[in-house]
Amino acid sequence: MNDNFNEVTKDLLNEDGLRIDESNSKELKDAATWSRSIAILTIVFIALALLISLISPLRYLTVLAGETYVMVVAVACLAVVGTIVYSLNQFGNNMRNAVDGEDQDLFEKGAGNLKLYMIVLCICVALSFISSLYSFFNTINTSL
Amino acid sequence: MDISFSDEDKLHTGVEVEGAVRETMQSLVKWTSINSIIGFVSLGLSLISGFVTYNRASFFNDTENMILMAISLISFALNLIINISLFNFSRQLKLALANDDQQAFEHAAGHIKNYFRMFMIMIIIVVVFAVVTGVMNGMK
Repeated sequence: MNDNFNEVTKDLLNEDGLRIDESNSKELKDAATWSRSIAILTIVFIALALLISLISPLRYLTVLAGETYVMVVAVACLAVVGTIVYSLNQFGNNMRNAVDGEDQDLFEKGAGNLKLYMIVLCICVALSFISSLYSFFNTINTSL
Repeated sequence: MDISFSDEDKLHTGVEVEGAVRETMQSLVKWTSINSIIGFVSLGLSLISGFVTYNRASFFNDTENMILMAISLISFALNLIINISLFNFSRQLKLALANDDQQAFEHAAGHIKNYFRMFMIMIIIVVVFAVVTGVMNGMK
């Protein structure tokens, strides 16, 4: 009977397994706030860059629009940045609401958004690595 | 003696890291590890390339090159801190999931917060640098 009682108590107190408590909920909420801020700042920065490109006397966008290759790269970059901004914003919203409302579904969605962000970031980091590798061998070749 | 409880009797325990969330977190550990390892290797390569470039005799005679070097060093330091935060997040989360360690989970949450904070600082620096460069080019 004692064993059964301990098991039931353990289950009720949820001593096994991880959970969101007071101390880590504060850290998660802060992380959510920072990620949303990054998303908002990135949107503002992209909007400003597009605006400057449009009103600039050099007409960057008009010149670039003529080059198919440049346009494909630009659209691909926008898609990647868009996905990053979306996942960061969603992570921020879902995680904050999950912690505040103690909502298991939103917490799951928030973790999923963070995973999506990490996957897209991994692609960017891999591309940056290839670029570093190219630059590294270029530098070594020129200095020899 | 049979002990039974209804849902209302249960103590309030909040959000749990179980089931689908645990699987997502395990996948998250894998992706963050890959990210941080590639990041560290990239940083190492950049550092070596930087040293090779900066060691050229004529490099330090030019003020523009000196400014470029300072910016590269700041960027390197920030990237290093970001990668360390990501690596620590991955390590602590892995530990937390393996041992159901609540303290490690708290540390992981702290590291992801630091990661986003440093990322924000880096974006602000990039934006300021882009604006300053744009203004300086416009004044020339």
